[in-house]
Amino acid sequence: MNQSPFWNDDWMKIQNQYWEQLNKFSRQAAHVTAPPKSPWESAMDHWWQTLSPNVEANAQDFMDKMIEQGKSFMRMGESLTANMEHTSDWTEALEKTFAQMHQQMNDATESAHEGMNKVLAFWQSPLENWQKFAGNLPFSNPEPLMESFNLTEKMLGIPSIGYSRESEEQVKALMQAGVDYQCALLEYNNIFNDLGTVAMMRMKDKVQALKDAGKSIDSGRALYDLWVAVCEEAYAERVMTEDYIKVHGELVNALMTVKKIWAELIDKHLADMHMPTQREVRTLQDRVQQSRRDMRAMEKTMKSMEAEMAILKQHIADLVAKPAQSTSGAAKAKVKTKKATPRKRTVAKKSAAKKSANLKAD
Amino acid sequence: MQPFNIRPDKLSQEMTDYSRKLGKGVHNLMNAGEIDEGVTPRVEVYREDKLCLYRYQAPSSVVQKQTPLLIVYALVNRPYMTDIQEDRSTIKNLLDHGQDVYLVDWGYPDEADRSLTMDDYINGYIDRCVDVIRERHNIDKINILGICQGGSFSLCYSSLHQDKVKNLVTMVTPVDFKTPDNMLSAWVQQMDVDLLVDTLGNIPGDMLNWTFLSLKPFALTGQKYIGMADVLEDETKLKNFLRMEKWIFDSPDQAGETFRQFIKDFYQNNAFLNGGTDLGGQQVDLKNITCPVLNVFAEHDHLVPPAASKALKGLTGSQDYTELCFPGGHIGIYVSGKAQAQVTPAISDWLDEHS
Repeated sequence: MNQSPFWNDDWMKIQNQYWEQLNKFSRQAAHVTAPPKSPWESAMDHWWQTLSPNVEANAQDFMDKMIEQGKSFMRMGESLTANMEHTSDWTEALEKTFAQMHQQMNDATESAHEGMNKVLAFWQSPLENWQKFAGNLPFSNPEPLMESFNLTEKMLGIPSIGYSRESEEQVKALMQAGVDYQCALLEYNNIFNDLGTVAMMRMKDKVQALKDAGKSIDSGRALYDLWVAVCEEAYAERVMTEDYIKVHGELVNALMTVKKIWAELIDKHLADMHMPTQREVRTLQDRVQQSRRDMRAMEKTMKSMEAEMAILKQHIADLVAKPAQSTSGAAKAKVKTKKATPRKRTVAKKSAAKKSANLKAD
Repeated sequence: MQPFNIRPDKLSQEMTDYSRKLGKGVHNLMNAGEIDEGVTPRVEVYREDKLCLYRYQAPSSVVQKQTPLLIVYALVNRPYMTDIQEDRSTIKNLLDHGQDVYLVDWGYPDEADRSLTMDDYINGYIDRCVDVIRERHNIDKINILGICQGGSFSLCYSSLHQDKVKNLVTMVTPVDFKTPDNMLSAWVQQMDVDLLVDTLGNIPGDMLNWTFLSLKPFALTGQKYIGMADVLEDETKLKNFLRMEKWIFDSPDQAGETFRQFIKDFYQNNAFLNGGTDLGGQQVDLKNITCPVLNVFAEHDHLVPPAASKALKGLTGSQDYTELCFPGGHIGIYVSGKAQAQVTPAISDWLDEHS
């Protein structure tokens, strides 16, 4: 028996059987025919469900990611292995594997395949990242407004009139920006549409190259790693195209337009309530920073003047102390003058140069 | 011969191994504790706004060189990358080689810092840090080592204050911002930077994270975590992984006005090559740099492609220009064992030769 407090095989077996049965009855009761999970996957899920409440949030996040990715790459290997048993044509098995993966990906109702979606819908990853960044804007889902796109466009074209004309125009501008953003998001999504197919073709080429070289893929992990490499390669080429650069720029610009109009609307409401607006705060920030710059510049000038004054004072002191000395004696005294520090020397030099430049300009 | 040889029994074993690693690893993960930032002792010698200038403490057995070295890090991410762990610390390694190391830590800018411009950073913050060091050591010139964007800033600084810079080292520094393989550059060409900055004020660290993850989304958001399973069982390796993970997502916001000028002047207008960067009324001209220059770049850098750094050759007015190519990536050049053995000693030797 394994002595690890977190991985007790016997306990896992019993738990596994229990959950398997419970799932089976639940599915029957709900008349749902979910695809069966493999035993290892169920075991992993059940183990984690039991343990995760006791794990800190940070560690939970890591473990979730590892479990999700682990399940995905295992499924990929499992699926391919099963398909290889029914055919001697590896390309057919590979195609079938990815076709199954696509099928499962499209079946959004099957929660059991959510993890699979994450790894197989590789080309969705950039979009997913974007959504995380863009936040929960009401325009984040392109579908609803796009369905009634023409109607929305027409409505936004109706001129605003009357007392609330200005506010109405602002709201319309926001709506228009929202529609533009959704169009941009759709375009961004579309640019990755065929990336899966491109990656699949490349995968075949890579595998063929391995075969030609007399090599083979002999683990689920190696298969997964190759798939990641292929996807990265296809993605890297796509995102350097003129089309992508344009779509990417439009997406960012469209989102910023929405956010900017939104912020202006909020500012308007804040102003109505006599509260400081973002615009006012920014104006103050700019003024404060400019004042700080001016103050620094004055400080610098003062320091350089102080340095010059110290030198002059020393000269005067020397002259006063030895008024009767000859010219050669005065020259010697000059040599004895206190040496300025490196910084003072540089500042003094710059100040002198600046003065000379100013004189020339005058 | 079939190209797939994934036997069910082997796959099953693979699954069991992976599960076992997770099972054992979760215990280590739960007990990982706080992840530290930086390992080498240091003292704060100057503070201004959110900036802090540190001097690192050399081992008592080492005789330090007379000319101190100021490290200017990028505004993106945090500088503890250069001192990430005991056996992977560029700073510690430099100290061991006798360099007297200072570092500018920019802190975490917030809305109050939105108006800071490149002029404020370069002719303001950096220049005052340099003056502090010069006064402390009573010398005219110091050595500067600029990293990534900090390297670009150091180039700007050296071109405007050559009288204060004895030797300049640039590491993974973008100079030509429009090389064909520069993904980041390609992506910002169609972006309306004014709209972006006017809207967001400061640029959120999250946005930068999104951008960097988008450079290699499949490897960085998925594959990496499978690799993590391999280190879960080893407490030290796990801690190292978590330390890197913390650093990657430890992204300060960028002061809006500085971001605006940096992207427009450099990424969109390629100012080092084409001219046009104005800092406080002075034009940046790399020909003004006459001190010896060591340009270090990484062969497999996906953020700053080697060609982007190598463009520095011939652009400065220096008669003493040296290149050092490291066979690794943008981060590996600081944290890999190979970099500790090759890059840091080479930098230190070069500085000694030019002391």
